[in-house]
Amino acid sequence: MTKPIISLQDVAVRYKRSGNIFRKKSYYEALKSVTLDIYPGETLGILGRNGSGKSTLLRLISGIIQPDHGKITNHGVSVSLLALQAGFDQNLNGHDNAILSGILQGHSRKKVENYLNEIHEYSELGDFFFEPVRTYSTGMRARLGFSITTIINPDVLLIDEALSVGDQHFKDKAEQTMHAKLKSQQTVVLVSHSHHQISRLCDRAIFLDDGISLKSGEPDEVLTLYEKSLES
Amino acid sequence: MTISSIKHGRRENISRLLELIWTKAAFNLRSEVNRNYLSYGWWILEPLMYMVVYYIVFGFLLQRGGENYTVFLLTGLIPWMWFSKAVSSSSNSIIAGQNLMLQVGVPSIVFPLVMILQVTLKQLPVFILLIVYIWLNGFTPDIHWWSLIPVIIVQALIIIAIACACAAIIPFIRDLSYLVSTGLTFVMFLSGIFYDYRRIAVEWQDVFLLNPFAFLLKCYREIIIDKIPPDLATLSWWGIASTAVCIGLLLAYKRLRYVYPRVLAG
Repeated sequence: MTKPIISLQDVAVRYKRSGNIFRKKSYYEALKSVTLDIYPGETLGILGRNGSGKSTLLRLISGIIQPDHGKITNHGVSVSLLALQAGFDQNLNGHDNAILSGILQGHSRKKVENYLNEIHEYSELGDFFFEPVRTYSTGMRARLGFSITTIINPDVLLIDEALSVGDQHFKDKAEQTMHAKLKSQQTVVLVSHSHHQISRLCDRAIFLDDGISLKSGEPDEVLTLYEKSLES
Repeated sequence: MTISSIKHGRRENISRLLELIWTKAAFNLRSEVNRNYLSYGWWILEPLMYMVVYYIVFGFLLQRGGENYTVFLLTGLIPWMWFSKAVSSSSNSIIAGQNLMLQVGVPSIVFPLVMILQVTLKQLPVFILLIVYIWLNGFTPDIHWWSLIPVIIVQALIIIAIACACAAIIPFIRDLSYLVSTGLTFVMFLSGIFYDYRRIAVEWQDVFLLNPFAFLLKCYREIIIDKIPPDLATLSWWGIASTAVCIGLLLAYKRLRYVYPRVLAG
């Protein structure tokens, strides 16, 4: 049995809604109880309605926040959250932003610079790669962000509905890359509303309902559960 | 509880962090240059403009200056600008970095340190011009100028201590950011930039010099204008005190690392 690379056990996260030392504090529970394991090489899909805690869950997995209750264990893997414009400086060009983004994601500058040509090619930005990002369209920024994170290969890649941005051509290309990663060693956690993507790209899926992790298993099974909950 | 991180040793982590701070600061400067029309020139023009105004007001209109008032003014103004720009730009750095903090696992101390480094790099050409200017005014560098090194180091430590402390506290008590700018103005007037501290009533001079900045300016002027060695004993005390504060802040930041994303996101 393969051991999980990241495990969450009965994890809860709450945000303070209002109140301070003068007024009673009230909290919003983004995650109430989540238990899940992430195994090496798999593509795990996370399904949930808006407000079910998906973004909070991704932040937890990528080490940005810690849980208020429960335990999260990372067995020594690097995790990158694919944010479409992670730390982009609008006044710098794509090339510099790629370096910046790569370093922010924890890689050494040398390593990032080695990948620059690949990033440039994959993003299909052409000469725009050397123009300031403020001149880019939303789709172009998405392509840049996606190229940077996927090419510099973290151990675990977290994707927060990012595949839904961009035109059909890029969406297809991104999906192809995801397919390749599915077969490769890369572990991917994909949050999506798209039934199509989850069922085609994921090995396993988990349904996050109002902060609680329910059913995990075959993507199609979980999808049925998810769709049922949308109807009710 | 292990949290995701790069799976290399700690030494590599620290060197990666330093590389991040350096690269981010350098890129921020590049970004600024891309934005402003005057670009690099503005970095020097700005302190020059301040100097001209202060000279007109204090040196000319009020006739409060003395001989070589411009040199006197500049030896106070340039170190002051380093300090005040570093503190004012760092104080909001954590709040300003909230988007980034919520997307990437970056230690929060990076934010103020990047701002401090950025400001310091911008101030470098100004410092050099200052040296050229005072040299041209007949204050040639001599052996005492070596003691400028510890003075600058201690100033850097004080800057880091105060800037990081402000940056750490402000996300919790946002109103304090108003206090920072007012506080800086107070300290500016109470540090003897435009006037010589020796003109104050003698019984108040010791209290006056408890302000670290007033003390630092005294050191700068002793070295450059009076050509005597500065008070190294007191300087060392300030150095030790600010190092202790910096170490305390390092520990505080470690603990606060996961608190900030909550405070900012909530």
